[in-house]
Amino acid sequence: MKIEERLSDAMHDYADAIEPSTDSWSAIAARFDDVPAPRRPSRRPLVLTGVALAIVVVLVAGLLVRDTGDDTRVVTGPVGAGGSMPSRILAITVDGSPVVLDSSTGARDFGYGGSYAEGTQIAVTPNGQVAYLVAGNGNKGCADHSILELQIGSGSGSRVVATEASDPTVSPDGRYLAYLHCLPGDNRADQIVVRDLTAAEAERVTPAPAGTFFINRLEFAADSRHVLFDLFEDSTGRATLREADIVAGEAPPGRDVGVVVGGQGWVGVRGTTGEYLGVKGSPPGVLSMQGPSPFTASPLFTLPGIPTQVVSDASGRDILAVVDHTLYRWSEGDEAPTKLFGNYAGGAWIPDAPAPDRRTADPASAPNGVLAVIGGKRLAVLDSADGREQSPLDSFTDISSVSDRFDEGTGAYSVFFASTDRSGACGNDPGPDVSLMTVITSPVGKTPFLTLETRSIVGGALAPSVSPDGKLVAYGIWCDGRTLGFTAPKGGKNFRTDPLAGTTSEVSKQVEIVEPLGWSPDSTRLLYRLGLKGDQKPHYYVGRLWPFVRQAETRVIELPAGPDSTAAAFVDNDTVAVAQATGALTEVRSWRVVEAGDERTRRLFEVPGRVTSIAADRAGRHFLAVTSGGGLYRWSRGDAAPTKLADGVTAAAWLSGP
Amino acid sequence: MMADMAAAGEGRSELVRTDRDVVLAEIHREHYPGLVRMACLLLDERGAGEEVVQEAFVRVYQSWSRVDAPLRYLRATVMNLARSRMRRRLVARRRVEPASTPSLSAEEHLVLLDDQQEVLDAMRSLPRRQRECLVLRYYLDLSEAEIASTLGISNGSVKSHASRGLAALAKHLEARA
Repeated sequence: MKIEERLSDAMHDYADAIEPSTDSWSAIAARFDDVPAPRRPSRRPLVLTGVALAIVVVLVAGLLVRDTGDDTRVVTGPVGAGGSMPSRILAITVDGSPVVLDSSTGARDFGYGGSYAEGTQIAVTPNGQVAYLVAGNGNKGCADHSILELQIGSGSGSRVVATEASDPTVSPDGRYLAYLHCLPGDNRADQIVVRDLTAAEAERVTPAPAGTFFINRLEFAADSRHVLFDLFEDSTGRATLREADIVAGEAPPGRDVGVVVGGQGWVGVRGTTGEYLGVKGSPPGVLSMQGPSPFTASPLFTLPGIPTQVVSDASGRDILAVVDHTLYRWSEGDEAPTKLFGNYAGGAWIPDAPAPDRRTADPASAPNGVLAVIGGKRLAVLDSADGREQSPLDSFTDISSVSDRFDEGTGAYSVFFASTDRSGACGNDPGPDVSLMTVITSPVGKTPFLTLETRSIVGGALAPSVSPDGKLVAYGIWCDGRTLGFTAPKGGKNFRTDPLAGTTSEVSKQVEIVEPLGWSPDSTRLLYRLGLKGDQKPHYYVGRLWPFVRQAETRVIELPAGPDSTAAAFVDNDTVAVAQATGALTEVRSWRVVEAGDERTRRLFEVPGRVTSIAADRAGRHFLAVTSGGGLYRWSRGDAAPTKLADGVTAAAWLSGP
Repeated sequence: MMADMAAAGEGRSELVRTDRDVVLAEIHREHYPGLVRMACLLLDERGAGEEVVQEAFVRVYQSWSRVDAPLRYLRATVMNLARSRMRRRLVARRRVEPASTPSLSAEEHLVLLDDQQEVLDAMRSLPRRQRECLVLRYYLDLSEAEIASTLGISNGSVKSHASRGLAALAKHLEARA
């Protein structure tokens, strides 16, 4: 009989015969009476002493700096030096469900449902698109676990890529997946399997060590060739950190790295820095260890308890730790780790999608044309290279803005804009003319076959903007409460949303004007500008709003734009460009949306004059700027200065589709 | 009615208290025997096992606002209290008299085979972490992840401690054979 079975039998025979006393609950509950009741708020009148008053002032100041008090708004935590922190985390809840978190706030962006994953080790490919998770809930190590492949963000579910396996790790270059595999009949991990993700069927298995050791905690080294592993030798009962050139076919036991493993010691690789992460001390401190042996250690931060997991992003500057089912994130420059709300068994950074080449932009990659409003009255398609007018669309009156969408599935091309209707849905409201939203569609995507669909929007429709997925058009409602409106092109259903709260709650009274400025490429965020009563400064917001997200998931972030901010547009899902007038010029800078309150930005380009609207193409590489004097400018990444395309333009957008 | 209780100033504490009473009573009904048996395996003393588990329930009650998973918290508390109890007992033994074999009742002697008693004695002689990992794994049948979170250690450490414990156990029993 195996020793495990003998032990299990002996424990069960001994312990199962024990019958605890039947009245134990009354003995326990009697002791509850000694426990003080939960505290209630004091009913004494509030009298502030000098010290208390100072504390309150500091707290209120802190609140003002971080947020204006609306509890649906996002309060962002500190970010690391350089603001490089990946924007998302893939976490596993305590009941085994994978979720995607906003790393800045800890809020859940996306959940996959199901309870099947362990948080013990998560590997994410460098492009942030695929994750490998350990699934199973047994206690036989890898023997009753498998590795799942999950497409991040697609919601398409997962598939098993290896059985009797654990500890997946992906090489920093994204080429290899390695994991531990059990030998038949054993419940330990004795083999390392390496799979070439770029070639189907290419898999290498290290020779079985014939029961002389087993391997824990596998992780790729920074060079994408070696793997590091915690090797436990049966003969000595010792565990050592080993390294083997797995790509060249080197088999365990490999080379002894010379770092302590186990309770306090090596816990992982620090991204691609070539350093290791360790844990030591009380309270436990996370260290960075530089080799080769003898290693020197530098303290990074301390945790409130012993972590069950410590993982780094590729840069080594951002670290996640799990302590007692709580996620903590730390970035270089932070004094202490930030606790994220929720109960999680584990987590891993999701690398942000690689940024497009910032030095040069291929002019040929620019969209074919510019959809422009000429003189506020006429729509036209301009050549994006030289600004020549190619396809006059039609003449209307007072067009405030324009956006379009090409449906690749049906070939339909739609233009959305607002015109005016002097009959007015505002009735006797003395305000400006009421806007009427007009939709033009073409089944073949070209102007000769335009059909015109006109729809009146109750309360007007300022600055309509169609979402890239074509599901909603956002606009500002002028009468009957200044608020955001949405209409669904298909079905024609209309919605109203408070632009400050992000939900259908009561319309904020202080809003004077609402202007949608554009959607994120993934259609999950809307950029808009608010004019508030008694405040000359324009306020720019990025919102995940009802009805395109659920009420409970709405979030509104105010961009830290100044009084001279004149326009804004999405660059990519997490970045917006904001135009700021500086004397005779307008400077356009990019801002990370997730870092509201963070002053770090990147300069993109400068335009002579005062810019009234800007637009970016879907790749975030080509920009348009319209000035108050009617100048239309084009700037592509890599250009030293913008090129003037046309005059007399009042609004513009890159043409979607062919 | 619950809303009425919550609305009344005095009722708020009662509501909170009632919730935790109900949850803890439910856990007690389902898991008390298992927790006591686990504590007995660690402590080799039935009375002490019951004391430790009862104390753990009171501690969880006191810490209710911080507890997100009561059963896991309870298990971890039992482990900690059993550990403290063992430490105190070792100190007491050092002061009073040389270590003596833990006494079993006549009934326990009858039901346990000699071989099983040897296995248990050997298990109790293991270092603390190894002993805890083996009890949680082979008696409570917890997953490695659950053991890791109960003991606040990594999965890899659970595997190493369990493997070391089993190897030491086998060696010990071989030496006696």
